[in-house]
Amino acid sequence: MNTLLSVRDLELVGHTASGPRTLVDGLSIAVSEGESLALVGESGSGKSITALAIMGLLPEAEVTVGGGRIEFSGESLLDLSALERRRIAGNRIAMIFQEPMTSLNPVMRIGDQIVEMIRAHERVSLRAAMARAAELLADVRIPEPAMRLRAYPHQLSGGQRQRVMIAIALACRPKLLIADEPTTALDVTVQAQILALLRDLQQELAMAMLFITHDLGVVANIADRVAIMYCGQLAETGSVKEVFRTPSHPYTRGLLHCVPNASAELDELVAIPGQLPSASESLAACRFAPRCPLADTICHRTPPPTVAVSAVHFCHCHHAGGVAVP
Amino acid sequence: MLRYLIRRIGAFLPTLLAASFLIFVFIRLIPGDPAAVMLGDQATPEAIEALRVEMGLEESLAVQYLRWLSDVVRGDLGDSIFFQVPVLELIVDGLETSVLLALMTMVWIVGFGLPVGMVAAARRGSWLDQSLSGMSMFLASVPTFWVGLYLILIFAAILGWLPSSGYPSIFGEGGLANLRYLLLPSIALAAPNAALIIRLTRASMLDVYREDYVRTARAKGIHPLRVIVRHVFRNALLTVVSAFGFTLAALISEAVVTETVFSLPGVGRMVVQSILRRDYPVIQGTILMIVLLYLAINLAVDILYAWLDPRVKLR
Repeated sequence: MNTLLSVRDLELVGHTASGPRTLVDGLSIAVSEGESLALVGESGSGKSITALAIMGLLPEAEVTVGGGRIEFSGESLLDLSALERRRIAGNRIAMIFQEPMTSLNPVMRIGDQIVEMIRAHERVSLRAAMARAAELLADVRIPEPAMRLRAYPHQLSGGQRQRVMIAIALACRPKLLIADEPTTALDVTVQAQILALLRDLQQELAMAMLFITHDLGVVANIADRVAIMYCGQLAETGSVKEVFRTPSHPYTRGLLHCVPNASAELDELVAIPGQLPSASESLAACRFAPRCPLADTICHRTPPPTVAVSAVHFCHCHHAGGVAVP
Repeated sequence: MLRYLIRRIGAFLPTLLAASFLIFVFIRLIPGDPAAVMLGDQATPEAIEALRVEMGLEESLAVQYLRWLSDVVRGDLGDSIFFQVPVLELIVDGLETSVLLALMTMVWIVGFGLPVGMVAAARRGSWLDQSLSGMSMFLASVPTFWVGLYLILIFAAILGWLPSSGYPSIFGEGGLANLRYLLLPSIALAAPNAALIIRLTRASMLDVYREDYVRTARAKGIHPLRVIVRHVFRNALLTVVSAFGFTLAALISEAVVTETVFSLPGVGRMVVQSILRRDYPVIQGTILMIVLLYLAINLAVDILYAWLDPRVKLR
């Protein structure tokens, strides 16, 4: 399959009062056409900021691109002008966000917010765009779509607002949908509905998806492949099946171990010891080393190699075993 | 909506009643006797005493208050002691100047304050933003009369471009061109208030700019100007509009000073002169009308707010 999105050696630098700090360090991920990749990590691991970099929405005063490339359909996004990037954003790469409650403009009708997206990229009449907006609301399973167009966001529930966000994102039939924790803020039953909807729409539209989450249960549900990040570095990538069955990075193993299991008779939740390094701490070459049960001196000194566990499964660890990839 | 209006206007009554009582009592706390002021330095104590009886000032305060109140309820604000004409007539006379002055001032405040605040926010941190912010800090901190005097000095006395004082009615000779008499006073009056609106617009635009829905708008790939106008400004306006109520209220009291500096025949100057003359009926009547106006402005702002923000329901 053709690679749609390719991020190579991406480095994102945060500018804080205490000086610059690397937020994302040499990240490389790829998403093929029609494929669903889950980007997994704790809060602060750099997954959301990576999504914003792909969209061209980085808060420039706070975060800048330090190096690397982002290619979409063979075009180097970081080399495009602001105008050219705007033609891609929304149109060919669309994004939905974590907070459906605050992600819609409170003083604008739902219909107008969908139409705005359509008319930003296509020359269609207002009437045609409105008709299309109603269809989109029907596509995301909102009842009485024609009536809902006139509603304001506060008249909808959280789940419905996220459906509206999805309708906006899909308005221009994007090739890639970036979903940044789209279900985290919703209650569990609604979460399941939204996930099912996203999975259905992704297959219907043959759309690629970059799904950002910290929830491994969601990953199993929605993704073909998974990329696990720790503190701005990639830990492990591979097909969901392989990574879940044979996790090779100590961090992934730790994460999978943390998932509560109803059948296991444990009294306590398992946790990975330690915590994410604070902003003032200096970082080890392998960011996970201070919390890793296998860490030794090499982990603190030398950045981890990329190790091929199998043809579709790569791990970034000195102790992963397997064959190192140059 | 109609029920809301009726209820809100009904709520004016207790406020007006309380205000009428306070006005009535407070002017009488100021030392000075209207009868003595009217008759001048040469008056004999007997003459003053006779006039006081004639004006009903010898009766108890409670009786005086109730008599005045019952007249007011019937729409009679009484007669001016000094001019010997109905107070209502005097107010209507001054209203043209005051209303036009207020309108022109609001035009400057809205027409200047909002766009400048928007530009400052859009270019935050730039030299333009910093000089605009510096200018608005300066304008907000200097008193209206000082700005007024300097405007007179520069544009009337030195350059001779605009008249320094007075205001002939636009309905008389000269017509609409007479509005130029209000140019300097309205600018003086607008300066500190526009500065406040600039600061407020800038601050709330910057606040809104961090909102999630602005990120959503930017993710749509729409033009940045559209993001600013339709998403940021529209929401920032909610904060600014609620400040308009305060601004208008401030205008009423600042107009008193401005009308005096520019010798404008408005309601504000009339209040000042009537206080000096201890012309009780005029002071009472005018201030009561100002209180009513203030309440009406606040109601209008609330309605405007509900119209701008669909989340607010008027019930």
